[in-house]
Formats: sequence, structure tokens, C-alpha cells
Amino acid sequence: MIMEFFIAIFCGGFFILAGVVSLIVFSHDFKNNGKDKK
Amino acid sequence: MNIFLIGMLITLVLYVIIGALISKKVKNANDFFVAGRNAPAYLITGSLVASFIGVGLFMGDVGECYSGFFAPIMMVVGILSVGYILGSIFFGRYLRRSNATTIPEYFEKRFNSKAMGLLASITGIVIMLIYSLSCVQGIGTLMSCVTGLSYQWCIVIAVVTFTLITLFSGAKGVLITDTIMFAVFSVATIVGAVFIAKAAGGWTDAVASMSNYEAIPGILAWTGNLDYLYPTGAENMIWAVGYGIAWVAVLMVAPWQSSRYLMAKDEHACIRSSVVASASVLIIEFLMCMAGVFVQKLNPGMAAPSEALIWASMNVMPAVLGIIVLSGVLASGISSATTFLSLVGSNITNDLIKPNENKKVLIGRFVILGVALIILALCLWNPPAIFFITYVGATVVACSWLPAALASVWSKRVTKVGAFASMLSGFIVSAVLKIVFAVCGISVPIYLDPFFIGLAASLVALIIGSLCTKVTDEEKRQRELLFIVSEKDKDSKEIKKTKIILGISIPLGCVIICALLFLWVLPL
Repeated sequence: MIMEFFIAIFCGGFFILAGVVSLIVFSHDFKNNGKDKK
Repeated sequence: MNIFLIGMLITLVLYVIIGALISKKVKNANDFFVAGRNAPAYLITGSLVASFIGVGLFMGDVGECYSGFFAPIMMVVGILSVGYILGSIFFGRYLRRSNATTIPEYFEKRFNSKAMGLLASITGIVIMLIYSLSCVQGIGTLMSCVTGLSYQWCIVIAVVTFTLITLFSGAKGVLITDTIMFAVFSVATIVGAVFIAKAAGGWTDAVASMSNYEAIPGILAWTGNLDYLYPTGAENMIWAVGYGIAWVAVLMVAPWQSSRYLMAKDEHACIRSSVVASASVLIIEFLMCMAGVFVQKLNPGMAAPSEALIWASMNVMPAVLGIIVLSGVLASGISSATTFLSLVGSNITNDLIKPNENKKVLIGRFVILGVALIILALCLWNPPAIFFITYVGATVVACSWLPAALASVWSKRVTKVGAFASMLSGFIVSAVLKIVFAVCGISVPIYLDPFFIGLAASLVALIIGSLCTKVTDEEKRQRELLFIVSEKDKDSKEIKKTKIILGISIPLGCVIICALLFLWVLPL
């Protein structure tokens, strides 16, 4: 039961983590309303 | 002629008609090969998912879960599904910015190297051909099983259908038909899972009863069925994590996935589509895997577990719903096949033949026809094989392309020699090991899978090759071009919308956790 619980948390948690990382990277790239970095 | 055959034939004819109608909108090579580079997020989402999900899921994965491998498969899916999000952020949107027609063209431009483009072309074409063979074989097996027609006739019908769609309408038609098929098999998934659960005694009761299922102990436990692959739960989980990582790479950079971003109208469409695609794959896999477990309760001891969903569609559901579900499964196979055929045709035409702009569409159509005939001949000659062949193809291209693809964007030090050595060594090492292991029947732990050995070889070659050579001015300039955002993409409203959709991944992840808890873990 504990391991199944962990897998359920992991599946959703990994999804959230990928979304948050992507949001941070995207926000960093487009900070100051779209002035891109090099 | 049985009712399922009639239903499938009507579905196939409808897709061909849709393809023919879309062909009127194909005006030039840009439309034919990259859908006019104007596709909105929902079409990219549809094509991403439809290209990935094929008969392998509805027969292979459902069969695995029928046999007691539910939790390891869910672990694989939980990991692999984020490949879309990571792929679009770290590679896909830069691919879109390059304005290339194909991914090999992107590599050629980025590294200012024709050899790099040629290598990417050849590796991509070889793997997509192998993958499309198993995809078509899956469709043939499904149709033959359902309709009672001979396997050979089913292959002919399937190849004619997806060739006509691709031939008429090119990438534009493939995007639209993929999205329609995505909608059809999504509906089929939901309808199928609900009806099978109802027939098994209701969702929560069926889950509860399967937790004490004596015929296959651990069918819903984290360990999985210990008689299926590995003898311990820990080994099964290690396998799941390993395969999940391998398939993250596939979803991030495999040509039939990342090439969808080349057709997006802007990079916001790339990113938004990836979030929806990730969630869709997770939900569809979960529902179908559960359906596989429920079929085990309804009909234990099936000789061919991969036919579990087909059996349920024909015997558990009302005929109309059965036709919808089976047409959805068929759509998943046809949609993958159209993507492969369209891409192989595009790569051969644009990267190998390189004709004049005004002859591109005509030559592209001839190439697609030629490739389809080769696929048809090979499929009729080969016996059906669903599950493992698809893994052999996909992960080879992923491990050979991943380091070079990511380094092409994120490394200032990578050179064309490093990228070329990386792609070549990753491809040769993993492909040779896959074949040797398969022919000799060698079984290794997942961490020694050819994917990981190929990935290590690819990384080492990338580092050594890049250390031994210097980045040229042109390579440096090409990389800098990737970081120039178009004025259109700098629209602050669009940026805000994309941030919101990325942010939605947080509540969406919570919904996924709740769904898994309430529909799987808590009823146990």
C-alpha cells in the first residue's frame, strides 16, 4: 500500500516538477516581457 | 461480413476522404512538408499524442497489464509522459526557431556540416522505417483478429489507407487527421474503460477484488506479477525507471515527436501543446492499463493477452460502442503510420534528393509512394510482432540523438566533430547491442540495456570529439541565432498565456495524484 501510494504521488509529482522547471526556464528566457537572453 | 469489419472500413474510408479534402489546401512545399508552419497548439497536441500512441499501447500495454504488470507500466508512463514538456522547453522551441523543414536540416545548419545532416537523415529514416513496420504489423494483427480477414489483406488495406492520406495531403493532412484520430481514440479509451469496469462489477469493487486475485498475485501491487519479468518487485521497479528514462528521451527528441514542433505557428504553440500531450498520454495509459486488469477478471486465461481489449470490445460492450472502441484503436495505429510515412518521405526528399522548390511536392509524393510499397512488401514478408520491436527502434534513435540535440542548443563548446561522433557512436553501439542481445537471447539488467550503453557511448564521443576540435565562427553564429526570439513570440499576452498553461501543470499534477489514489491505491 505504501509503495503504491508512492507511485501515485511520484507520477503526479514528476509531472508537477517538469511543469515548474519548464515554467522557471521559460520565465527566465522571457523576463522583461520578451527581451530574450543570449 | 461482420459488423466490426463494416465499422472499420467505413472509418478508414472517412479518413481517406478527409485527407482528400485537405489536399485542396496544399498549395506548396511548405504546406506539404511542414503544414505551412502555421499549426495551432491543438493540432500539435493531437499529432504529438497520435504519433506516439499506437496499437502497441492498446494491445501491448493492455496485454502486459492483463498479465499482471500494471504498477511497473504506470511507473514507466509516469516518467515518460513528462518527456513532452521537457522536450518542448529544452529542444522543441529552438527547433521551431531554426525554421528548418526537417530535423536533419536543423543539424546541418546548426553545425554547418552536410555530413551531420546526412547522418541524422540516415539514422532517422532507418529507425522510422523499422518503427513503421511494427506499427503496420500491429494494425494488421488488430484488423485480422477483429474482422476475420487474412493478415495479408488487412496489411494491404491499412497501407493503402495511410498512404492515400499522406499522399494527398502531406503534413497538413497528417496533422488534421492525427488530431481527429486522437479525439476518436481518446473517446474510445474513456468509453472502453468505463464499460469494462462496469462489467467487472464497478470500478472500486473491481479494483478491491483484484487486490486479492489468487490467479495472479500482485496484479495491482507495486511489485507487479513476479512471474512475468523479474522475480522481485525491486527489479521490476528498476526496470520501470530505466524504461521510463529511455522513453523520456524518445518523447524529447525522436524525429516523429520533435518534428511536430517544426509545424507549430509559434513557439508558444510548442510549449502549450506539450503540457496537454503529457497529461493526455498519462490519462489514456492509466485508463487502458486498468481496463487490461479488469479484463483479467472478466476473462482469465486468455491465450493471447494482447487481445484483451479486442475481446472486451467484441464481447462486453454493446456493438456500437465496441465498433467505436475498435475504430479508435485502429485510428491510433493509422495515425502513427501516417506520421512515419510523411516524415520518411520528407526526409528523403528534402535531405537526400534535394530537388528544386517547384518539384518538391511531386517528388515528395513519389517518394512516399515508393516508401509505402517497401513497407507493404516488408510487412507481408515478416510475421507479426507487436511489443518489443517497437522498443528496439525507438530507443536507438533517442540515445543517439539526445546528447547532440540538447548540446546543439545548450553547449557553447560542442563542435560538429563532437556531435557527429556522438550521433554515430550512440546509434552503432545501441543498434548493434540490441541486435546481438535479441539474436543471442541475452538478458541483462535494465541499467545495462543497449539504450544506456549507447547513451554513455554517445556522451563520451560528444565530449572527446568536442574537446579535440574548436567551435568555428559559423557554428557559434548558428547557435546564437537559436536564441533570437521572433517579434511575434515576444507578445506579452502570449507569454502570459504560456506561463499560465505551464502553471496549470501544478493543479493538473494534483488531479493525476488524486485520480491514481482514488481509482487505484485507496480501493486496494
